[in-house]
Amino acid sequence: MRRILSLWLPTFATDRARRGLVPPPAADAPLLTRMPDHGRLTVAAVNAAARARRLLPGMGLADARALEPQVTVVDADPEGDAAALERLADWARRYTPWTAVDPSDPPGLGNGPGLLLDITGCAHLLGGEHPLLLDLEGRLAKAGIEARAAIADGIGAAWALARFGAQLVVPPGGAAEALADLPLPALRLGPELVASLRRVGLRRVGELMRLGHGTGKGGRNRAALAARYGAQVSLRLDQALGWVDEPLSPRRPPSRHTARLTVVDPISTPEGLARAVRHLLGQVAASLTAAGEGARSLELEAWRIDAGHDAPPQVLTVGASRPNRDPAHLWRLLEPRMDQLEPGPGFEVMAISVTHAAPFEDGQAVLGGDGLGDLAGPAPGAAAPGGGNPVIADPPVAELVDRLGARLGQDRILRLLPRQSWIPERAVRAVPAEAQDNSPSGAPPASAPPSLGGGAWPADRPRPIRLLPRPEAVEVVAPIPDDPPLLFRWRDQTYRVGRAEGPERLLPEWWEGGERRPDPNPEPRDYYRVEDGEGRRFWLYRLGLYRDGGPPPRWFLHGFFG
Amino acid sequence: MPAEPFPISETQDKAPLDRRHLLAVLREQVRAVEAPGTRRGVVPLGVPAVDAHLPAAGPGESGVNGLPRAALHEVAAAGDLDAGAATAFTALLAARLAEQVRGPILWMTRAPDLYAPGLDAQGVGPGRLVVVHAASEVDLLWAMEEALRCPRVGAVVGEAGGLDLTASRRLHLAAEAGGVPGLLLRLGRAKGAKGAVKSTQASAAVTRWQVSTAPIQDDGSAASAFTGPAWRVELLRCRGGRPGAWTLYEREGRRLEAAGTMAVTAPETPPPSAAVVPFAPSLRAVG
Repeated sequence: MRRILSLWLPTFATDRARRGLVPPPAADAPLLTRMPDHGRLTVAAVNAAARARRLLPGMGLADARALEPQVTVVDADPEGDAAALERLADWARRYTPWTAVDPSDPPGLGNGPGLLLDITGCAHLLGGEHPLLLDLEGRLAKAGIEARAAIADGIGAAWALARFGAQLVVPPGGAAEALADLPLPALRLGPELVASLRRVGLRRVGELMRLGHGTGKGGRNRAALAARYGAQVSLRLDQALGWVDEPLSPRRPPSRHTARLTVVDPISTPEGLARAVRHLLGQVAASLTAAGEGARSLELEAWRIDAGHDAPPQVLTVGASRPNRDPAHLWRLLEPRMDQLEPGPGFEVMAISVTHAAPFEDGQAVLGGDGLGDLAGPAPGAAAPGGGNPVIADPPVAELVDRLGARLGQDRILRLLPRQSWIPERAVRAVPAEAQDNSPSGAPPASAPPSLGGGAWPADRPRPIRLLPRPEAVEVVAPIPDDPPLLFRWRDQTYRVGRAEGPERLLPEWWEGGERRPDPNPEPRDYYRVEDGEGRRFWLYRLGLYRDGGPPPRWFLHGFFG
Repeated sequence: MPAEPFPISETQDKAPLDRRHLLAVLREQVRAVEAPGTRRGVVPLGVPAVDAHLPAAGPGESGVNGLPRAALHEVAAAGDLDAGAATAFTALLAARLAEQVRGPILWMTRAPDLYAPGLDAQGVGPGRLVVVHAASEVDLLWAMEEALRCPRVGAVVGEAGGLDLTASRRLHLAAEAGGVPGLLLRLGRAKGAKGAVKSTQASAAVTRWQVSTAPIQDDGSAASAFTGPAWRVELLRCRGGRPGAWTLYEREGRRLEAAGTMAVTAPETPPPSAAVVPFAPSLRAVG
């Protein structure tokens, strides 16, 4: 049975406005927000005190001022309100991973927005549904935010009770009884519908229930109701009674594997944090095991005891190179990052969720024997079994890569794979070692020998072992048109060329480059391998060709041979 | 068939053999002190002249000399412009050391100029290579130590700059613990690098090499000047072995692809015996 908490913030806009004022006015002082509407200023939202003085949203600001000269007026900030509401939904994830801004509250009606929390299975962490509800309301009240919450089986019932009901927690199956006495707007019906229903004498939800769902001729009445007032009425009624499932679309896709911990004594010491995290990891691991999955990435969230309602939780995210569910290993990934958490006075809620899970295979351990499985594969499409990269498929190595990645950053642990390009700087494709590599461009010719090295790049084109990230301009003395230089000058040193070989002409691929190299006729590079008198060997190139009357081509140093 | 008795119990049972075995045990202990890292075997370079200077293997594989596997080695570039040669020589050593095992060769660097095709030619192919770009020296040493302690790693190369005795000892202990060869590549390109890589600087590395380029001996028959590397290699220090100096170069007429098999031979094909010719007589000539 689902349990939904609907949270109503009747004066969210004015509560926020009040918090923004220095010094904040008294809570019982009338306050309203204004916004321009068709060339005049109107009231956007009012607080409880202003409403008690019959100041209502939608009236002209001048009228409101006439009624209550003492009223505090603040500019409305709808975007700020919406953003604050999103932050509040994030904050509310301290109670459950399933939180959402209530979509049935259209903003700007002056009714106040709301949140929805699916607290199924979460309430016991705070000692039950009622304590959870009081805790939530109490925290918001402390922050100066008026809030009303109710818990029921479905969104419709909880919504109605939060706004119109006296009962805060409706036990499972008790929705019909709890809703019977509520007025029709509790069904989330528009004002026009409510007015026309009222014209035929329907005022309470209970009356509509008897009409729509009574025995005997009920079915026909229901059809008549739908025919006369549209499907909206019976849909809303069914939703309120929990007869029609109404999905809650959470703000963030929640994980199927998640564990949370709420403590009375805030956790602030490193040892305490470690213990809490390991406890949570154990729970997540059990959940993963039950599902036959492993975690590719997971997220630790921690809420500080002194964090305000719009302070997001502190978050640590780590990734694993292959699906993993060993709590000890997952802890080793998190451990080096733990000092990034700032517990301050302490965390009172911590949660770990698996943000990316993948099927876990025990057989992963033995795959990828010769270390070249993915490179020597006969066809690009034929990925290594398991889809991983064999060089790190070995579990201890995969865990090492994870550990290095967790501390240094996954994008710093790279594999350098061949790419089909003659341009030296494009002939290497760096992919994170954790990436599942089976894209075709990584596959070299099928003739790659199953030995260490050699053959991944064309062997008849010697390549340097150190390549300057940016070719550096050199001055040369070279016979024209295309002889290698006799001497060249680089970084204030002159090198006499003893022997040279070349040129090897490389043309940028016309289909590459895009916006960066829009030149339809890119200049060729003529590469020479030259050696100075001491055996040091350089890779130089001449950009462009000698042309009569044209500018002389330029020379660059690009790399050093081994 | 009953298992062969454990040697030590044999010595206790048979008094006449006691002395021989005791000597063997003591010899092994002395060797472990003199040539650390050889307990997990040595890996010959495949160049007899050089191998003769390297420590001998344990009693199990007598007659084999080579680089101790579970140990830290150090390769320094003689000058700024010898970075390429030192890198290539280090890659060759790493490939050789990792040849008999599976597992990646992790290459820790802070420089952006490592070029995979060049490493591939020295035997460190893309199937084995994992490059770790460390943001700081501290990260680099930490990553090296972590990797060395993982027994399934083939070899670890670290382009470390300034490194004191304590740091290098940590790395060597990690290499011993994990049984993984570690290679420190010191290019001395840090600021004020002059003298940063001094041969006198204390280090716990078991072997210490200094590499510079050498001009290729031109006998007029070479089809190409660039068929392969030519290095001036000095073995400055070698625990359990002897220092030496050689010029290593590739035999003419071979394509660069074969450079990997010049000194580092694939196990299934026997190396051509004259693939590598020790060029000049050793500086510190032996024999």
